[in-house]
Amino acid sequence: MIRLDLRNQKPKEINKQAITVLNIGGIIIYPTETCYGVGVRADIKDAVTKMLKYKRRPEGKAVSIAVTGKDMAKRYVDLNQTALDIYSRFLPGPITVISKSNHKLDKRLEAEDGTLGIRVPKYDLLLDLIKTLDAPITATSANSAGKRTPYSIDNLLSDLSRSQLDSIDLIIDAGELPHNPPSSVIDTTKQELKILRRGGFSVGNRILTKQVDSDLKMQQLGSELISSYKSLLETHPMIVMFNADLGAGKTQFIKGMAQELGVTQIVNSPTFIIMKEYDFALRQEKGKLIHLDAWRLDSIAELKKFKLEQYFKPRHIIAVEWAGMARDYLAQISAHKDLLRLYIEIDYLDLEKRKVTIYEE
Amino acid sequence: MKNDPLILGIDTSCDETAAAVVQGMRVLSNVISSQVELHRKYGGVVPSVARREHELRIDPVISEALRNASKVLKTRVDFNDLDAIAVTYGPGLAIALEIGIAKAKELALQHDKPLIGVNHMEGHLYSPLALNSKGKGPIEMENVEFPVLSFLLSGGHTELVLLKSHDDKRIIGQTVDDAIGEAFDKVARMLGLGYPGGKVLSDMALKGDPEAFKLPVPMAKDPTLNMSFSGLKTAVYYQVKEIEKQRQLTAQEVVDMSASFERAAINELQIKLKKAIKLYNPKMIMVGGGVSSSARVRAGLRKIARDFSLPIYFPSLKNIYTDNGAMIAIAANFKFHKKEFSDQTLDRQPNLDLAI
Repeated sequence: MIRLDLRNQKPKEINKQAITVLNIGGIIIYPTETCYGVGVRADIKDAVTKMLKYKRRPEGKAVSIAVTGKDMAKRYVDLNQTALDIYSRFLPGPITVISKSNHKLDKRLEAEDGTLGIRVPKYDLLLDLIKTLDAPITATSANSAGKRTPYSIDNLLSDLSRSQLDSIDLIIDAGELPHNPPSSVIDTTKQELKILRRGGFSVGNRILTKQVDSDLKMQQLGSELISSYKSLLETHPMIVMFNADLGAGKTQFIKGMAQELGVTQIVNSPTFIIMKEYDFALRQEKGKLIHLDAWRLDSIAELKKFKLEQYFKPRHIIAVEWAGMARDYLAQISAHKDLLRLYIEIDYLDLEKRKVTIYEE
Repeated sequence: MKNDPLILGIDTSCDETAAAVVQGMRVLSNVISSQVELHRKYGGVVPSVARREHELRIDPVISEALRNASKVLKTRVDFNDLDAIAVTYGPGLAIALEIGIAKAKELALQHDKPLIGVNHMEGHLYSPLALNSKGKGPIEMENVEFPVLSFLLSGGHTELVLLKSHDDKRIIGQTVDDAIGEAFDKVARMLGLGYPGGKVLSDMALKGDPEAFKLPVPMAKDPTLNMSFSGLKTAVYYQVKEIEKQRQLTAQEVVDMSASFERAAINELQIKLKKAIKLYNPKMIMVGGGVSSSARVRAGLRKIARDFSLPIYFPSLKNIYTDNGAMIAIAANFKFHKKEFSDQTLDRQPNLDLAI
């Protein structure tokens, strides 16, 4: 094991030796702006094997890689707009950005869902090293699972086993590092494709366009909608699909609907739980309000499991937030049913004001 | 401790497939599916397991929980060694809940063990009482003094609960729109921090100026103990859009907005906690749920507790904040001692409330 000291050796000389070690598949311990990391060339399979053995990771935990920046990252992952914004705003810096892997590197570095974490460390020595190497190195803390975060080489070494010590080829010692927390992880892969609004609904007949300027008025509009359909609801089920941005007032509208239906519970956001059910009675007959938020659904296949057809009964109302993705599916499963289908768009006019457009099909 | 019942707890209330083994209040194992990779264990049989595929995850997760418990007790723990099998029956997502319930019923029948249905919220509520595998924790059961004021803060819950005893719990305040964790995640998304980015938002907030943006503290003047986060979310959205009409947000603006939002959200929690303490004079405060792992949230709530000289307890174990099986097994302890067992008719109750 070679131990180089950044405090009394030239960075250039240190990097030269580190690169030699990395190129033959060796393991190095290096400083970063967070803690000490363990690095091997991420594109050498045997080296990755060695590093995983060193880390004693429980199977299947992903390992991030360190690159010099956006251009190098693009060789290994697909960068979407969210990712690009983060790169330009925050990198280099203590953030791990998760993107979809293009599987050019060892799959063992990826997470179960085929994503890969990328780091651009704010540490010049390291950026120079990776630039000269022209290959990514693994970026994971140098301690094994469950052991303390390594801020000094001495602490790290005292936590390691004999075989772990033996597998290290080179250490770059920068003394005691400032105790900065580990990097924050930003996942840019969720809620990317499906959530986007698919333009306006523009289906059926527009039955109402109205401006509202408070939560209360939004609730009133929801109540009015139910009130005007009340007699039809006695014999028909109803689907109400919403197309509106975050914070536009969808839940407020549905609160108003629930109120008019006589739901006594507090109607709050179903985002986490995905679907909430409320009971009510309409002329002494039981009915149900199903409040569904498609925001966190992964696919139509997942929505199918909810078997929404079971609610296609009189006095049953299914209100769907973030219906963009689900719209075609819902229209299809309800196509031949005698069912009321409404589409509601809510647009921001300013902080308080919204334009609500209701279509009936 | 040796005489305490050995309970397997299962939770499939929403995203996580979770299973754990506890002995009394002592957590021997606590396995959460998102932290175990399944397809490698299966040797590639399951190419890619989507979130919430509880059917595929539940068996390996339970096996792992038994295996980890065996390591702690240094003796093999098998189904036959268990004293009961506990499972969440609500509140939650119906199609997720039913998978855990079916599995728990199957195991109870097969191994002739008592079945205990547990309310998910009781799990979060009792999570600060969980002891580590050595039997240590922030507070021992015997030292719980009623009334207890419990604050549940997570992606799906924001509730103030009053416990007059273990048998008398009721919600005295809750969110009327978004849950606090959900608001953090959605605001993170508005700020380009990915999804779910609540944790990143809190990290960013550390470097930001909470005075940089003027945001309303929602419900500050509302006389009830209810909370709201939707208006705050909208206020952030609107300010972000206004800036984006001209140009992109700068890194500094992102961290400043994170800090300003976090401060306003925590202020609301503080105001309502204070109000609840004045109204109900609790002897102690317990906090549960994923959001209670945030250092700022903890500090904010601790400050209020200190102002009233009240002890405050947070969950202290890894994996015990977010949805997990250990908290379910711990809550099942109380029912075990009272012999409140369920039978094979146990059914999911997606809308289950806390007061029974």
